[in-house]
Amino acid sequence: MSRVPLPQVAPPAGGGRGGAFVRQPRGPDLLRIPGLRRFLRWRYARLTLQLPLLILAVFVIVDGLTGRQLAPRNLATTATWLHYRGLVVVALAILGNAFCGACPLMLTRGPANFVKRRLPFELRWPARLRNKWLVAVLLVAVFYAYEAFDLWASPWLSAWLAIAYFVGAFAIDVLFPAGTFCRYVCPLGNFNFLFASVSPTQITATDPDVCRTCADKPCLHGRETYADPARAPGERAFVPLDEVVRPNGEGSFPGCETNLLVPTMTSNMDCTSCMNCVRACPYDNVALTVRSPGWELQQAPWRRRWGLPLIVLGVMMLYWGLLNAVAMIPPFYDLARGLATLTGSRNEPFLLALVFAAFTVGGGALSLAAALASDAAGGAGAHPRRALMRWGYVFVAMGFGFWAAHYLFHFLTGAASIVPVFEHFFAWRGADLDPDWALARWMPSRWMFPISAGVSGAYALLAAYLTVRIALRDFPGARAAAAMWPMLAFVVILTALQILVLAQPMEMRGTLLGPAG
Amino acid sequence: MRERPGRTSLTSFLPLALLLLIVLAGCRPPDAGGASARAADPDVRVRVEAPPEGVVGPETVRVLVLDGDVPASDATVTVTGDMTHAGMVPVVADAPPADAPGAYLTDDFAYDMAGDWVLTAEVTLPDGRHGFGETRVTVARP
Repeated sequence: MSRVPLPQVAPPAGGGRGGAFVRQPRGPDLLRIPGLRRFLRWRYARLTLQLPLLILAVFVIVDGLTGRQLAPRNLATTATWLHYRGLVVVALAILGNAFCGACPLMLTRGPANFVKRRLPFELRWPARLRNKWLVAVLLVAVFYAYEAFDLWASPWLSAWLAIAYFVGAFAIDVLFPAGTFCRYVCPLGNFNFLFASVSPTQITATDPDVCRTCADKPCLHGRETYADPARAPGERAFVPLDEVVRPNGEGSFPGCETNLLVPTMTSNMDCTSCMNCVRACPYDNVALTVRSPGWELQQAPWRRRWGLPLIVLGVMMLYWGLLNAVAMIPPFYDLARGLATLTGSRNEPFLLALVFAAFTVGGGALSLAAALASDAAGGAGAHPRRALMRWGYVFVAMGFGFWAAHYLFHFLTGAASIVPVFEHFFAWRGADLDPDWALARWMPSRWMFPISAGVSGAYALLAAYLTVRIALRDFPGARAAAAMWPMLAFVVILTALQILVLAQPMEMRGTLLGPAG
Repeated sequence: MRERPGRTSLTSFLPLALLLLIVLAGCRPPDAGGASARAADPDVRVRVEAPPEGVVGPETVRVLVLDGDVPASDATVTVTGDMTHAGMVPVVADAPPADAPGAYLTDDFAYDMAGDWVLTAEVTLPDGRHGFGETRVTVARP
C-alpha cells in the first residue's frame, strides 16, 4: 500500500509532546446533537444526502433538454440559478459547505473507479496546475459564459452545463487521482471552499493527543475494518473491529480525498464536508466545531496552504460578484453603450470581455492600492505580495457578503416558484395540473432591499472587524491604528457602492446594447 | 490507494474530446412551444403582435387567430408574459375579441419590469382545438 505524504504538521504548542498541532477553534461540537454523529458515521450517510440532489439534477437535465425553453417555467434554470445558488449561500452563512457534502457529481466516483481499474495507467495532475490559478480561470470563464450566453435565460444551456459538470468530474476521476477534480478544477466547489472561510463551523480534532498517538492517520488515508481480517482488500490500514470506538460497521472507509489531516486543519479550504474523516476515525475523535464567522480569516490560513493564487482569487471574487450584480441594473447598459461608442464596436462578447477585464484589473489594482496604503500607514514598506497576503482576507469577507446578498435577493424573489415549476414539469408532459404561478411572489418585493442590504452590511462589518484584528496582530501600538484606516475607508466606500447597486431597479435583459443600442 | 506513474499523453484523449464536441454541437434546443404540451392543431394559426420594444407599464397586445384561412372570432384567448429570468411571476391577461374578424386585444396587460419578455398567446376554439403563438419583447424603463 502506498501512502500520500502527510501534510507538514506544525510543532505542538509550547514545544512539548502534548497540546494542539495547530490552533483550532474550540467551540461546541455539533456532532453532539443527538443522532447526528451516529448518522454521519453511518457508511451511507453521504449517499443519503447526495441522492436528493442527484434526482434534482436528473430533473434539471431532462427539463432543460426536453421541456419548455422559458427560464421561469423550466427546472434547469429555476433550480440551478435561483434555488441552488440561493441555498448555497444560505448554507455557507449559517452552517458550512453543505452542498459539497451532498454533491451528486461525486456519485460518478463508483463508475469512475470501475473504469479506472481497467486502465493500465493513471495520470498525474500536472505540477504547474497544482494551485488555484486554473480554478480562478475556470471561475471567471463560468461567470463570463453566464453573461455572454445568457445561461440564466437558457434551460437548454443550463442542462448542458450540468451534463458537462458530470462528464468533467467523471473524466478527471478516471484519469487522475481522487480529489483532483474537487481541489484543482471544480468551479462550484472552489466557490464553496473559498466562502466556507466565513462559515461558522469547521472540522477539528476533539483531542489532539489522540491524533498524536494515532499511527495510521485513517482520517487522511482511510481504514479497513472487518471482523475477519482476511476479507480486507489491503488497500488501507487495517483496524480491528474491537479497536474502533463507537463501531460503525465493517468495510473500507475512505479518508480525506483532498489531503487534509484533521488535527492540522486551520481552514475550511478544500474541505468538502464529505465527513469521510468522521467515519474513518477509529477513535471517534473528529468534531464539527462551531466558530465565529471571522475566526478563520483572521488566522491568515492560506499563507501556509495555496498562498498568493488563492488570495488573488479571493480578492477577484469580490469584483466578479459586483459585476454579476451590476450586469442587471440600468447603469451597466449605459456603460456598455458608452463602451461601444468609445471602441466603435457593437460586438457584445468583445464588449463584455472588456468589462470583465476592467473589473478584474481595476478591482485588483484598487484592492492592492488599499492594502499598500494600509501597510504604508503602518510603516511596513511597499511589498505588494506581502500587503495582499496580509489584507486580502478582508476582501473575501466583503465578497461573500455581496454574493450572498445578490443570490439571496433572487432566491427570496422566487423561492416558492419551485412548486409551480415542478407542477409545470409534469403538466408539460401531460399531467392534469394547473400550476399556481402566483406562488412565485411569496415575499413582498419591498422586503428585498432591506434584506439584501442587511446581508451586505453584516459582512462589511465582519470585514471591518477583520481589518482591526489584522492591524492589531501585525502592527505594534499606534501603528496598528494608523494601518487600519485606509482599509476601513475602503470597506466603507465599497459597502456604500454595494448598497447603491442593490438599491437600483433590476433589468433582466439578454442583450448588452439593447435592440436600439 | 493507487498511485501509478502517468505514461500516457493527454493527447490520446483528443479524439474522444472531439467526438464529444461534435455531439454537443449537433444538439439543438427543442423548439419553443406553448404553455403546455397539449398538441397545437396545425390548422389553428396564432400570431402575437406587440411592439418589439416596450416600456414598463400597460401595453396592448394584439392576437390574430386563423382557423385554416378563416379568421376565428369566437375563440378564448389568454396572453401570458414571462420574463426570461427564473423566479419571476408571469403576467396573465385575457384577450377578448376586437373589432376585426379573428383579432383579439388584451384589456389589462402591463409589463412590471424592464428586461426581456416572452409573450405567449394560448388559444382555445369552441370545438376544443388549441393553438399557440409567441413573440419576444425587450422592455425598457420609462
